[in-house]
This record gives sequence, C-alpha cells and structure tokens, in this order.
Amino acid sequence: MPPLMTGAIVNAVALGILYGLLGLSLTIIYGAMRIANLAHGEMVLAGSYVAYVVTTQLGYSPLAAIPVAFTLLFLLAFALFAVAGRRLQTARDPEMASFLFFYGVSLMVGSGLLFLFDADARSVIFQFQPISYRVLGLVIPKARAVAVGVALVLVPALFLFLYRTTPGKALRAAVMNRDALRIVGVDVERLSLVAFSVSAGIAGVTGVLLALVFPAFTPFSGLDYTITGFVVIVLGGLGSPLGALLGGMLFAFSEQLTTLWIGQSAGVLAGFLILVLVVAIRPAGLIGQAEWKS
Amino acid sequence: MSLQISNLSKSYGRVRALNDVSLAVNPGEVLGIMGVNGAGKSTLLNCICGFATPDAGAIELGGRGICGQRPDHVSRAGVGRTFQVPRSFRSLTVLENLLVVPARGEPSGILFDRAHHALEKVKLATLANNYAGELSGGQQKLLELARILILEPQVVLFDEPLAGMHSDLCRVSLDEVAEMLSRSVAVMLVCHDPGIPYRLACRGPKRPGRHRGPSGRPALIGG
Repeated sequence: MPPLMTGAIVNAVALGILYGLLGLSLTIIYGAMRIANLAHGEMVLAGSYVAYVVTTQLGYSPLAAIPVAFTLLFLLAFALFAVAGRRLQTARDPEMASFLFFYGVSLMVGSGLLFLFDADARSVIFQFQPISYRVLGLVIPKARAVAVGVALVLVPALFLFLYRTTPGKALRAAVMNRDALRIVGVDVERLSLVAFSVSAGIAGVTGVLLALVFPAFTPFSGLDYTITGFVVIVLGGLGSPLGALLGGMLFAFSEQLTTLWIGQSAGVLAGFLILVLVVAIRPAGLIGQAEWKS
Repeated sequence: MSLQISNLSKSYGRVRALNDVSLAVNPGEVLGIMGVNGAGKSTLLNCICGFATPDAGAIELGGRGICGQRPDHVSRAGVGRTFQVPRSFRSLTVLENLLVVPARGEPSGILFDRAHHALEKVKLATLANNYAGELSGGQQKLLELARILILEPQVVLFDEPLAGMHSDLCRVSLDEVAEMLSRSVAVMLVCHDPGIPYRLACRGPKRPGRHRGPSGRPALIGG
C-alpha cells in the first residue's frame, strides 16, 4: 500500500473514533430526551478552549485539561438543565423547543468564548516528548496518538456503562420507551439531568482531544462540530450508541479518502453525499431502529 | 390499599373524556371498566397514573391524594399498570426489562432473584436472555405482567390485558391476576369482554360516567 494511503487510513481511524465520541454524547441526549442539542459543538469547543488555557497559557499537559473540561462542562450543563430542563421536557414539541433553546445557548457560549478569547484562531501549544512516533515508515504525531488513546479508553468505558450497568440500561430503556420507564418508578427527570450533564462533560473532553488533532480553532468553530455530530448520528441511526461509532468511522473514512483521491474541498462533500444516500435508502440510519419514535 | 376516585373530570379541547367519575376499588376486589372506544377508559387510567392531569376531582390511594403526581411517584406509591399495546424495552433482554426497576435499598441479588421468579411465574424464564423485541405480542403482555409482579404494587391497573392473546397465555395471565387478588391487591381492569372480569368475580359500572361506585359481587351495572 502506498504510504499516503496508509497515512489516510490511520488518520481516518483516529478521526473516526473522535467523531464517534462526538456523536455518542449527542445521540444519548437526543434519543433519551428528544433534546436536539444544537449547542453541542459549542460545548465541544469550550473543551478545546479549556485545553488552550491549560496548555498554552498555564503550561500544563493537555491530559490535565481533560478533568477540568469535564467538570466545567458538566457544571454548565447541570445548571442549564436545572433551569430549563423540566420546561423543555414537558413542552408540547420537545424537539422544536430544545432546538430553539439550544440555538440560543450555542450563540451564548460562542459569544462568551469570543468575549474571553477574541476572534483570533487559537491552538494548543504543547510539545509531547517525543513529538512523533515512526511506525512502519509512517510518522504519527504523539499528540494524535494520545488523543486516540484517550478516546480508546473512553469509548469502551461508555459502552460498558450503557450496556452493563443498571443506570446505563435505564438510559437505553429511556431511548426505547420513556413512559414505560416512568411507570416502573424510574425518576426519568433526574436520569435526564445526570445524563445531560455527563454528556456535556464528555463533549468537553472530546473538545480537548479534538484540539490535539485539529491545529487551530476560533469561537466560530462550534457549528462545524455540531454539524459533524448530527451527521454522524443520523448516519448511524438516532439514539443508537453503536451507530454513532459506526457513523463516525464512515464519515471520517469518506472525508479522508476523498481528500486523498480528489482534494481537500471534496472531502467534506463526500461525507454529506454519503449522508444523503443513507437517509434516502435507510432513513433510520445504518443500524437505527427508529424505536425511540413510538 | 384502596383506590378512591371522586368527581374526576378531564377534557381534551371540547371533548369531555371524563365527566364526574366516582368509583372505588378495595383490596382484593376487581373492578371492570367497559365501554366503546373513546369512552374515556384509557384517559381514566392515564389520570390515575399521572400521564394526564385531571381538570377536576380527586384520586386517593389509601387515603393519600395522588392526583397530579408524576408517574414515577405514583408507581412508587404502589400503583402498577399495563398498557393496551405492551410497552417493553425492545433492545433490552427480557431479564433486563425487569432489572431497570430502581433499587429500593435492597441488594441487587434480591432483585435478580425476584426477576427470575416473576419470569417463571409468567412462563418466560426460558426466554430470559432473548431480546424483548423478539417476543410475540402475547408474550410481551406477560412481560409487562412480570414487570408489575416485581414491583409488588397494592393497586394494579390493567388495560386490555387479554386482547389478542392465545388462550394458554390468557390462563397464565388470569391465574396471576387471581393470585394478586388473593394477596389483597386492588385490581382495576379495562376490557371489551365482560367475560374476563366476570370470571374474576367482579363488579363494575359499564363505563366511566355518572355513577357512584356500586357494590355487589359479581354484578353488572349499566350506564
């Protein structure tokens, strides 16, 4: 295999798992609560800025930014949900209500970041030792390897939580049938509060990891992440954790390989083209069952 | 515990679904609610278990008002319910469907044993590790019944418990309801077939309407 090709595939796997992580936190919220978190990208971006502050301004390792980003975003989401959660959940059309509400939140967080950090592009300036690894003739930056390594710990941990623990199963049950869960005595509102906060925390961590992969970000980068997140979960199937991971991989592979074969600008186009095709042929997504609809 | 409903009314727009309904179900009794589609039977159940808020009236469980409370609170207060179209968690296994019930301060091992026991009772033990989505419609109804059994409620509301069910499965279901009655559970049963509550020795107004809860067993009161 030509080295460029191998490089593209390695990149795609790395990005795919990060996109999967991006979608994972989004899909849990959408599936379990019918909340379309349009501010997801800004929450991710806020995580990137935490990484910027911790590394570039304070001089610590990006790894130290992970718990900070998680805690900050967790608290922000907890406060947001405590204020508006109940209202959104009991709205006649929770999807539309949350869509508008979180559009407002996305503008708020975006302009908050603009106020704090100005409009210039920022980047994480931190040098790992060694800077890169050389594996089978491929140069792999250590920052990227670290990001993937953390994601490779986080994703299985999330799956273990969702598929092996009682709260995780309850959360998936909420995706399948909210009312049935309430009828057996589960406090779905508290479950939603915790799930939403944890999801935002994971979004923050994803932001730290993405900051290690994408060199620069501005306060306006949030929308890109939101769009990528939604594309990934629609591809995989709304409400399906496994689908989010699959969608992330598919999106990253199409992006990377098209960039290699055709060019940079065609990369993003290919991802959306696949999205349109998947939605046209399998509206429920790759492995979605659309069961959250009932 | 008895369930006491007084002067309950609920409208959806201009449609009056419930009009001054009063009735009571006492421990060990079964009350059948019958009526044509749209008579307000499901609205009555929804008001009791908190999915709908009545416009007027009171609902008391063992003398304590539960009107307007959230479904999970009503459930934990001791009211169990099944749905006309069974609502299982399709991508969880049959056993997991029972294990998502919130712990009541007891070790998880006990809940696990109780879940197994409930599945044996409704003859679903051999399917414990199958996904709920793989069950037939009748088996899903039995799964809902098992879900109620492990909650050990004092009042149980059944919405069309036997509709579309094979007669063998019906017997399993009826046996369980009879056993609940013997344990002094109060049972309210919405159905189209008067034979079912009759077989369970029942009493019941024909539809939720303007009548006080009459007694006598078994007796059929017209509306």
